[in-house]
Amino acid sequence: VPAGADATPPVETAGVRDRAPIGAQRQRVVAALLLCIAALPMGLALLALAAAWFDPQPELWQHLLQHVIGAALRDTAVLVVAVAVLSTLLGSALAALVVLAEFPARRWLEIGLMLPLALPAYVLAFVYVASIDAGSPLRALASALTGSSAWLPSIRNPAGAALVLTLACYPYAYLLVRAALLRQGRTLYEAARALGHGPRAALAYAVLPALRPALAAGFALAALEALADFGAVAVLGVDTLSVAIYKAWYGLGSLALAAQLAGCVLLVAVALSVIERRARGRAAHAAQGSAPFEPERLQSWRALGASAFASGVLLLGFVLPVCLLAYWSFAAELRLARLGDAAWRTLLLAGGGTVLIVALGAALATVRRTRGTGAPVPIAAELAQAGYAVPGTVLAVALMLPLIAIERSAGLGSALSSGAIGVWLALVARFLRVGAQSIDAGLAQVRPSLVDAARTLGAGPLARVRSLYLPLLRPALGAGILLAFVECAKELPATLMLRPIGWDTLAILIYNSTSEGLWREAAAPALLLVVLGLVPALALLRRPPP
Amino acid sequence: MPTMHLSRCVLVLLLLSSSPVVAAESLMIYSAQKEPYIRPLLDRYTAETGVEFEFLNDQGPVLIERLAAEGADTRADVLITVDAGNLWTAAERELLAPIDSDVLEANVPAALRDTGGRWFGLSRRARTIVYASERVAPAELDGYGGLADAKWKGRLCLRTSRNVYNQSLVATRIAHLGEAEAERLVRGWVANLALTPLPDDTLTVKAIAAGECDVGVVNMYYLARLKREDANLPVAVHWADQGGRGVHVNVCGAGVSAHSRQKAAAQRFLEWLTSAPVQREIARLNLEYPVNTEAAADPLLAAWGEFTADALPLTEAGRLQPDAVRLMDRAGWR
Repeated sequence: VPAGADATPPVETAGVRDRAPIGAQRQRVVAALLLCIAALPMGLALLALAAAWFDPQPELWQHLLQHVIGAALRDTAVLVVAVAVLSTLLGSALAALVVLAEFPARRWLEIGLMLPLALPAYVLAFVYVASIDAGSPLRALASALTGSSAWLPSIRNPAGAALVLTLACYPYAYLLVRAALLRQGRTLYEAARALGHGPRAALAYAVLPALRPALAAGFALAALEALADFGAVAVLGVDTLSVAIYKAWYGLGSLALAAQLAGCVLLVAVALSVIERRARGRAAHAAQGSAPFEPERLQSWRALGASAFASGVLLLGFVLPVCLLAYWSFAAELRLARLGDAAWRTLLLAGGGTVLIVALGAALATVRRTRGTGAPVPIAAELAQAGYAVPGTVLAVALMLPLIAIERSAGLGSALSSGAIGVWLALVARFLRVGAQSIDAGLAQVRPSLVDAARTLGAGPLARVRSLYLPLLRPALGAGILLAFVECAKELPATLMLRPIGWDTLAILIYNSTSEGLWREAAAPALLLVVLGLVPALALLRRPPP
Repeated sequence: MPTMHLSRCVLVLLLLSSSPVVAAESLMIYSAQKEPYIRPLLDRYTAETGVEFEFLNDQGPVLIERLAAEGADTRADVLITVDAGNLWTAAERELLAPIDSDVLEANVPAALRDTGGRWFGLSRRARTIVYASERVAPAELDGYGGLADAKWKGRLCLRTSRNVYNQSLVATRIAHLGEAEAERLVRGWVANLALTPLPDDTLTVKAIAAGECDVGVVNMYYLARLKREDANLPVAVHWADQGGRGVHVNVCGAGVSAHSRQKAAAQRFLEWLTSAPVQREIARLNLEYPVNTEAAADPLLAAWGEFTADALPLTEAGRLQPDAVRLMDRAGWR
């Protein structure tokens, strides 16, 4: 067992190293194969992005560098850091609250707090802009009463965008940290208390370090989401690097330039991710026991404060926007058959994508943990997951072009570029990180000694998965499935580009209306999307039986 | 048996993705115009002629990349896209077949189609000035150039420069005024902005109605759609540059895919789309102006009166669009 970088005494500092002396050769082959399959979709897209450099655009680059990139870098940095920090703080505070404390409505809030995930960020952004920003009834009222609405703060700036995106992104940290806390149980905390630490010190020194993988995963997902987002920042008037990438293609008319810029952003994101992983080293933390926390019953104003805080977040991130959508949808014509078809197709495309993402994500996380941190495995694994850092439309087109090339040379008609297979490949390329990171955070908590014990007892790899990993990883798997499903269900550009001809999903119905400014028509499919996200949330978030 | 069922599902999926065209006649439409504005027309054509349609919807630049990648193997028969810039690019990349049709030439005025017959306008939209009817007198307005006047400081609302309609508008300013003068004009607009540029034209109209700004530039059908819901909306339309070059107009247009195997059928469909009765239907659906001069506009638009349109060929707007984007970046129009 290698020494961990962290010196916290009650924590066994080692990631899982499931390394069998016998059959090591075969294991290596299987691992390499899994890695290749997981990396295939993103590999295709990377080829297309790399090929763009054969068409150099020196003049356009000079224009971008002189007039666009500076401001874009500044706004991107501010937005990404703010969203990641705020989302992680908010998400983990809420997770700690619902796991460690007991207060009124806690059980409802525990489930409710992940619902904002099911709302596409650009829908949330639009609802906020339309209800309190430019052209809103609120502004009209302010103008009528005071002669001007200029004194009302705007949310169409980096600060406003950071707040709105935080409401959309905190559920990543919330889900992952909650899963980690449930997994970790109370033993560490109680040991620290027994050693004479107060509740705060026990949390800070015993519980918090063991949450690092989950915190890091939540932080990274929020940061990359903010980096790759286009829909929400476009509505919120913040010109990030994603916006510059779109400008290069749609405005300056150069897909090559857009691909080159996207490639640069992607490389920086991958480099940061590798550095972060190195810095974290193998200081993964396994809990000693699994008895669940006994929530502390909060008293009087503390209990009310906890309820108010959690419900406030739920209100802003979900209830208010959904109520507004529902209100708008009253005025719209409801076409139920169309909605039903779209819901069923969403389930099929997103469900297939989720299965692949979680399976390949689990494979990737396992391979990484079993093969050690030596290059090139981590770099290949990082690249396979890099799609999360690329704006959706650019990634989708970078995948569409090679798929069309393949079908043309193989005489496949349009089986890949207009079919479920293409959509699934694109979803894996885009969201593999979501599955891999959720599961990786769970694996980090599995005690190596348990694995060793199982092996000593003669359990083969399959038996170890079934009777050891699956039960222990249940919360992390649940989080991974939920995250992957809602991401897939609300994905737009790749689904739009690669779906079977005529297949409208809910996200596409929303897009069809919103892109023409028909927001009220978008309300019904948005609500249905929320309901679809709610079902797995309810199913997966039940606590495991004690 | 669930397994049977599942494998059948998978089979259906595979077939769905690559179904060969068996029907007698079926046209594949690649369209950047949204389905709600096109589907009723397709249904009507099917009812009249028996020709079926497949419909692939995406943004203009994506459809163009797709056509280019598919090359001779494309299934697309017709490309429908908005904005002259996209149509120009598609023609420039040789993705559209030249069509020689007396019917199309009679139905579509010369300024609204490609000189080489590779694309034809289907509907016409004017990008013009709208103003707060309670706070601005029409006499105060003096065309696009007038909006750069200091008297509009803090009173002008514009959509973001990312929007292709603004790019075409600025491209036509470059064609008329030259690059330097056009940049001076755009800098004047930017200096007068009341708000950070808005994400869409609907919000521009609403911001004027809410009293946040007094004037703006939008495609007129966005105002028409809002007026159809609320006739009392205190925002009015002003036809820009009537004493000069005329209002900037753009089109939603269509062309026949260069590698279509059914060019004659595709051409017949375009001829039908530009015929007077169908043009009236298009105008009613999307509240734009018909390109066919024999068709009447929607009564709501007719009440706004006639205007002189900029006669500059739209191909110029397409050609100058990348220059326009660079100019807007330099001028700080976000």
